[in-house]
Amino acid sequence: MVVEPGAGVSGSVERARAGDADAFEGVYRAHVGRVYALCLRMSGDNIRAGELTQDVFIRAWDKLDTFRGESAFGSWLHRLATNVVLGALRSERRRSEEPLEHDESDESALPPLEPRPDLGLDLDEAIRSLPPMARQVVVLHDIEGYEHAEIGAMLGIAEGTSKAHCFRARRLLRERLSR
Amino acid sequence: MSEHHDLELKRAMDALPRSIEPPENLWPSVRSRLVDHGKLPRARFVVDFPRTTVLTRRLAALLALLALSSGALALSRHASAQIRVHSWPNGNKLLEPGEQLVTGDRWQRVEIGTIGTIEVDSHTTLSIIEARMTSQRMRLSRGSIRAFVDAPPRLFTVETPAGIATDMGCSYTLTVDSAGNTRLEVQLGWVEMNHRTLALVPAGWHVAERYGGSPGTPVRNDASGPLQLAVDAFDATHADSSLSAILRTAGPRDAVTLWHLIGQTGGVRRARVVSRLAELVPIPSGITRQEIESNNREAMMLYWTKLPDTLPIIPTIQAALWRLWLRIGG
Repeated sequence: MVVEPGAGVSGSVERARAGDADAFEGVYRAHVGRVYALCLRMSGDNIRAGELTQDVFIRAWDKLDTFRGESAFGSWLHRLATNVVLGALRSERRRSEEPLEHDESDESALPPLEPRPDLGLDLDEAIRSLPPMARQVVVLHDIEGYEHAEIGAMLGIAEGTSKAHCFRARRLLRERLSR
Repeated sequence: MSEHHDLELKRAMDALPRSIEPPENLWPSVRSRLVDHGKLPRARFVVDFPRTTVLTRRLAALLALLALSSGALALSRHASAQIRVHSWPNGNKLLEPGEQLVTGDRWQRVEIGTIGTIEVDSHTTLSIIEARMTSQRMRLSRGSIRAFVDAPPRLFTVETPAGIATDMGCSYTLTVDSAGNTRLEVQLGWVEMNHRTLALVPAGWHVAERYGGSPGTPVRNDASGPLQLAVDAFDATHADSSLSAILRTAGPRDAVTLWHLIGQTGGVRRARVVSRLAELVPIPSGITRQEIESNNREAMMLYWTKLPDTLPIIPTIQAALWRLWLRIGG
């Protein structure tokens, strides 16, 4: 079953909430692109993005009964996806003992972007090559539209630190795109 | 950097697509994980055989004995759930969940704990999802593997973009092309292929699952050319003409193909399938044509035991195998 975003999704959500797996597949198909895009940009890795996308829909199945219909289902799912992704990335960071605020990856050691004269430089590729914290902040702020105060709360950093990461990310992006 | 550059970057950010389709269909994995965690029931047909003849019971007992022997063999080896790749450039390598094996020009042999081996073809991408004594799960994104497994049913599963192959104690080949289409060919035992509905694929049979398409229909490897073409056309289009061609060209040994078509058709088309299947293999006593036409699970499974090439698995024996296996795993 394929359900287009915004068309009949609420019915699918209702049926999924009642335990209808086929309806949930419809919900999945309607929203997977948006969720995968978020996971891909936040993780910077397509394999990890696939795993995180699965995690998001499994969590969504568990939490469906908490969706009250006060906001659009897409917004609810997007918020849940952001929380799942940030939680997973936080655990990974803890495991690798990477400092939270001092994301001082050696910029010169970042993977070089392949020049693609036919397409121009790929902004998504450039975002993927950013240091993790800079990437997460710039995706959340510049693409997903969160405010720095919200991002700070989500990532457990100060609002000013979020701004600094965003500034740094944009600088790196401009450098990379102008090469 | 100038404001102009900032503005340009902002415009480029705004123009980024908000939606990106994943390179493979993740739904089978999501569904499989929900099933594994007990949050969803298993797919439509759970294989159990409510009634069997004396002959099939004896055959089942023999199979169970063989399976138990293989369990004992596993006991005699050091029980482990590790995934080990042979002939890695620096010797053997253990693969952890989350890791991926991408073969180059050469094939690789992979040991799956103590339950069997996989030959991973050249130019193949295989990821490890789970490596536990009670559940071994992998994802084949592209390429081909040949699996040789002796373990309790449903312990070993391989996800592909177009479905999930669940081992029922057997040997099989699984191939995924660059578009995500999947072909499963079974050499020994049988395999469940889950792609929206469940296909039961016995030894000597294969099924082709199209990425994003309708469920595939199992077909005998040595079925006639016209039948294979008709099944292929039916899977792609569900056209009446291809269904008619299948019904016209199928013989008694192709009954498993028609049995699967019952679940893929409805109304008049299903009635035509049931009529032809009943001509090839009479509906067993104790169940009615009406039950088959309504796709009644128990009736369908009993009918299954009467078809050529099918093997019975008895739930109590499955449970006994699992108990033994869990004891081995400690």
